[in-house]
Amino acid sequence: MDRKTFESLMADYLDGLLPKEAKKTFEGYLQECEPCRKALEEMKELRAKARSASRQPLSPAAKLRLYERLNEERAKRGEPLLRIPQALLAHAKAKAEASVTAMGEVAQASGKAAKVAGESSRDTLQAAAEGAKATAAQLGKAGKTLAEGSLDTAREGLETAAKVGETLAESAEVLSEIPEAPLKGAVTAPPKMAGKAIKAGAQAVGGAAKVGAKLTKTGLQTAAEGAKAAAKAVQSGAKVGAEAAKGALKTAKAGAEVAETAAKGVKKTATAKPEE
Amino acid sequence: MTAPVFPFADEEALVAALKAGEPAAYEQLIEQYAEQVYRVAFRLLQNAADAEDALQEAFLAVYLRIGEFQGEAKLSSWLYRIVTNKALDIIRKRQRKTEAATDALEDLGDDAGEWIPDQQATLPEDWAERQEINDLIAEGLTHLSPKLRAAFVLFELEGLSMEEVAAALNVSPSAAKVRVHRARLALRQFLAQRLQVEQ
Repeated sequence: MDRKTFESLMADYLDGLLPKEAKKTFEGYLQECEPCRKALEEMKELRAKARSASRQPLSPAAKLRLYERLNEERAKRGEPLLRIPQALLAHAKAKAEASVTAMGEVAQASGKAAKVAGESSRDTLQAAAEGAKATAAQLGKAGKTLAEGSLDTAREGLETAAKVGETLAESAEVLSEIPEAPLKGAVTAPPKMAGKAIKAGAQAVGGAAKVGAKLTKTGLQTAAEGAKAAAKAVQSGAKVGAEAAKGALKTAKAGAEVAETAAKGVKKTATAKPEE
Repeated sequence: MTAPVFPFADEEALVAALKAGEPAAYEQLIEQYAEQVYRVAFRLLQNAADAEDALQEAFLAVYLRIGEFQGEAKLSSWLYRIVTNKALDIIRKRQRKTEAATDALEDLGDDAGEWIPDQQATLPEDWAERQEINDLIAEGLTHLSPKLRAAFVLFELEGLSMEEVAAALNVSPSAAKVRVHRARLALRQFLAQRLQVEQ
């Protein structure tokens, strides 16, 4: 026998189909050929493994559905229905009861999770409202500063204008003295006028500087108040974010509990059996 | 556990009662054959939902077409043929791409005449003890072409005789034998390649 012949007979040998003499010759060759022995063993083992690898029993639920399917067809034709074995019905009942219990447990866990989510949302909203209030208060303060500063500045401007006006009026007095003493007036008036003009100019500059300083002070103050308001907003935002994160964690934990309950329920339903 | 007692003692009586539409005959048919019909379907389809569909279709086909059964083969052979065809229909519908791959495996089987054991891809020494072997075999079965898979499942896994396999597949016994052997070689080749890659 050669290897080609061995291979052609291996199938029949494995299947117990070789005649007695051929089987004897085959086994004799097998003893001399180690790779052939290995190949034969592998085939035997493969057969055994394949049988166990793809085993799947028919579940009671699937069998029940088969009965129901046939009964559906029989009912269409007005034929008497098949009797479903009591054991299958009891199994279906046990599964249904386990399923209802599991659903109840999941509903309860879901309600709890919803409550947690609601409370977390409420806490987050409250933090947001407080933050908004604090920020608004800070912004209001900045606005007030600006208004007060503007008023103050305007007042300063008016005062300056009044002083300058007074000085100019004094200049007019100087001029009015000239007709009474024209010569004296001609000599003394110009310097007096110049002096008054310088005084008025200085007053205007001084006033303008004061107004400018006030404006700067107001601007700085308003900016500072605005910065405080922004900082407050950031602080509030951080607080809201922290509350939201805390809430999300609580909600996620509650959600995980729901999932765990559901998984337990599935397992209970799958393994539910009728009472003995 | 005591064996169930069925109202129809022999196959001839059962077939007659089935043809008469007697509920008790269909109840017996389910109790006697549903388990193994489902097992064949699952082994062919590797999917519980599809296997259940094939099971239901097979029993419905018996109910609707029992008038065609002439008793030329065993009732179980007829059932096996119906469920195998139903399963192969499902496979063909969902695995057209896989058939291209399995054609390659089938072609390898065509070279069986040239096969020399020590030139084949080798299986590792511990292959049968490897944890993943059952999954690999189940996967390997899905890679077989439908006709090789059916022959292998019916003969190797269900333990039908070659004549019964031939009847179920509507081929000659020698054709059934060739398919079984080619399926074995293809499955072994698949395992050797996969286990070598994993090493």
